[in-house]
Amino acid sequence: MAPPSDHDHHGHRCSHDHDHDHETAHSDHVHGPECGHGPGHSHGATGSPAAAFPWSRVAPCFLLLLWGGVMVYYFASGRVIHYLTGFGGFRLQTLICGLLLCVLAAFELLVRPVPAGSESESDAEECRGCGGDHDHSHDHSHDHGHGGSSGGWVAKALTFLILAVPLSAAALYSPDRYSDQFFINKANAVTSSNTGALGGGGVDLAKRAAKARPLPGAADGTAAAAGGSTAFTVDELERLSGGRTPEGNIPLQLVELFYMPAQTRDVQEVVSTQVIETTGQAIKDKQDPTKMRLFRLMMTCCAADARPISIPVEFTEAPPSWREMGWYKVTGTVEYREINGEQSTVFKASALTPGKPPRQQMMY
Amino acid sequence: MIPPVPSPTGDILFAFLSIVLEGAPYLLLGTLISGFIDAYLPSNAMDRLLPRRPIFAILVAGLLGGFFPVCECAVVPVIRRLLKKGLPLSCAVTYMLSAPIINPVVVLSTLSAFKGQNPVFMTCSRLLMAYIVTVIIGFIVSRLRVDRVLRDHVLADGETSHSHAHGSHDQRVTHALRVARADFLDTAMYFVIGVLITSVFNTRLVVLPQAQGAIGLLSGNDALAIPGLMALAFVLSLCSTTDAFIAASLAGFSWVARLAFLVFGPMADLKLIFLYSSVFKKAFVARLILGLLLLVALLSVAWKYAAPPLLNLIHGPAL
Repeated sequence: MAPPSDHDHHGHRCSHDHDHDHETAHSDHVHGPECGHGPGHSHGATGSPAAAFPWSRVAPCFLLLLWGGVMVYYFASGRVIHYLTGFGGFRLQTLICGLLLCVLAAFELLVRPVPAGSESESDAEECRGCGGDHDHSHDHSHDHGHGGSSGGWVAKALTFLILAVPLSAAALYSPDRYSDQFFINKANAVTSSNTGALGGGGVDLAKRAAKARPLPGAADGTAAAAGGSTAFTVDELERLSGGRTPEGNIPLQLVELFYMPAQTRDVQEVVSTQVIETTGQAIKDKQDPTKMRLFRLMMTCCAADARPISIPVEFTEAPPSWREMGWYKVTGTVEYREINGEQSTVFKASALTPGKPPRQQMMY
Repeated sequence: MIPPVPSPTGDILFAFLSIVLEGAPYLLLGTLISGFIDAYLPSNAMDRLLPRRPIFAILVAGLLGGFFPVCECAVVPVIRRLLKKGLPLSCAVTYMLSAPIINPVVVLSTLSAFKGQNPVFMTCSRLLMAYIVTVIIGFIVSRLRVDRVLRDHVLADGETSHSHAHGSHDQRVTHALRVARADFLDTAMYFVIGVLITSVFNTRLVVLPQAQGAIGLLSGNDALAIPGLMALAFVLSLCSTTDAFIAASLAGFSWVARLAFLVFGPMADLKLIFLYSSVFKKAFVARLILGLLLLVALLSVAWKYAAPPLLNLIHGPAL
């Protein structure tokens, strides 16, 4: 007999002896009194005493509720902000998924017992109706342990533990933030490039400006260069940054300054004329340890993909003393310079004040 | 509830939970699609959809992601169900590997991530290379015996294929939800193992100064950078819809090495090993990963030398 090639393998096309053997074997099994359910699986009236407690239904139900519950809880409690970015609907997806899992659990608990018995009867009738060219063990194999069709109680218990333990542990004991050691390691990691990639999109000032303005395409650099009156203005910067601080500075996120070289020329120019204020952690510059860089972690979609971004800080006077990994607020102006072959934002600081760690450890 | 104090173990749990919160919705989406495929798609739908000749069927399967976009976590339960509906194994593998890259969401995210770094070239290279790789793998798989590739219970599923294309609407929805429930828990188990290992690597190994030093050393030389970034993609187990943002920020690495990262990552990584194991035999998964590694590396080197002259032909020096 030739080895079955994959194209003519599946039942409905088969003409191989090999496959027929299988089908016969299966039909024997399937059209037995248990209707495809293995021993030990109780449903309806056919339950054996050994399976009086319906583990096969309660365990999946518990797991679905656990997963759904964790997801809904993390969304509802607001803790999700530490795990996922606000862009791209990631947080909302979590809520929807959690709710759907709860619905599936409820469905499993409430709906299934009744149709399970009646459905197999009606299926059996349909089967007689359609000539028996297929048999009828559909999907019940799934109830027999997730590790494989041969799964005994060990495999079932293992599956249950793998699905229940890590998630419960994480949900109960996740600190919602990384440890300081992780931050120190990340801070000293290979520096990210600032060309191109604009994170989740929310950091793109020009894009935000274009959205906020009635004229389409107004943020385009070429339009500004051509002397159009639609160029980025100080007023817009004020509005987009959420308004000036009491001291009259423009508060910007470190990530917005980091990606400034990727902005259009008019945005860069407006930002460089203003007194800017930003917060981050101070770290030593790897090439020149006397110099300071301001560092933060940025996530693209979830906390696990956090990557370090930092900009060099230069002081107009003698640099003040600072603590490695301490949180600081810097005030001053920005300029753009080529460093190691890449355009970079340089912060010319006039003041350095110890700051409080922000509520959200990471930016996005 | 006040969250516990940060600790090294806390880092792992934090990273683990963040990937689960991000990935579980896609896993559920995949299993819901899988459930409804099972309930509504007639057994012979795949025959009608795909060309009769195996070669053309594989060529078409590589493009299906454009019409049925799913990312790499969601695709595994879907192909399991499609196999049951008569999709030939070779086409299933080609679709499984290509769909996470050749799909509209990934095209858009790659374009925007590489803004300012030849976005169109990077995106086209990524799609083209993914297509070539997955089609070659499809041809190889079509020469293999099905029973040596698929796990026994998946094989049995295929042989006992039962169409639910009859029955009332309610029965079908009931059936779809039941299949989705079973598939979700089944796939989630492999997902959990993969994510757990990824979180440990991510928070304890990749961030170590020594590991970072090694990554820095690799960046200069493509002979090291290409396998290096493929290994990184394997360990990081990023989602194919967002990995382009990470690739774009890998300062110092050549475009070829980043391309290898972008093509290899969505097809093979730590969490996928476990997800693939829910459908395929272990020996096949191991050979598949090894084959992908060699193929992507070789094609990347070839593309490194072939692309610049080709681009010159089209529109002057670009790179």
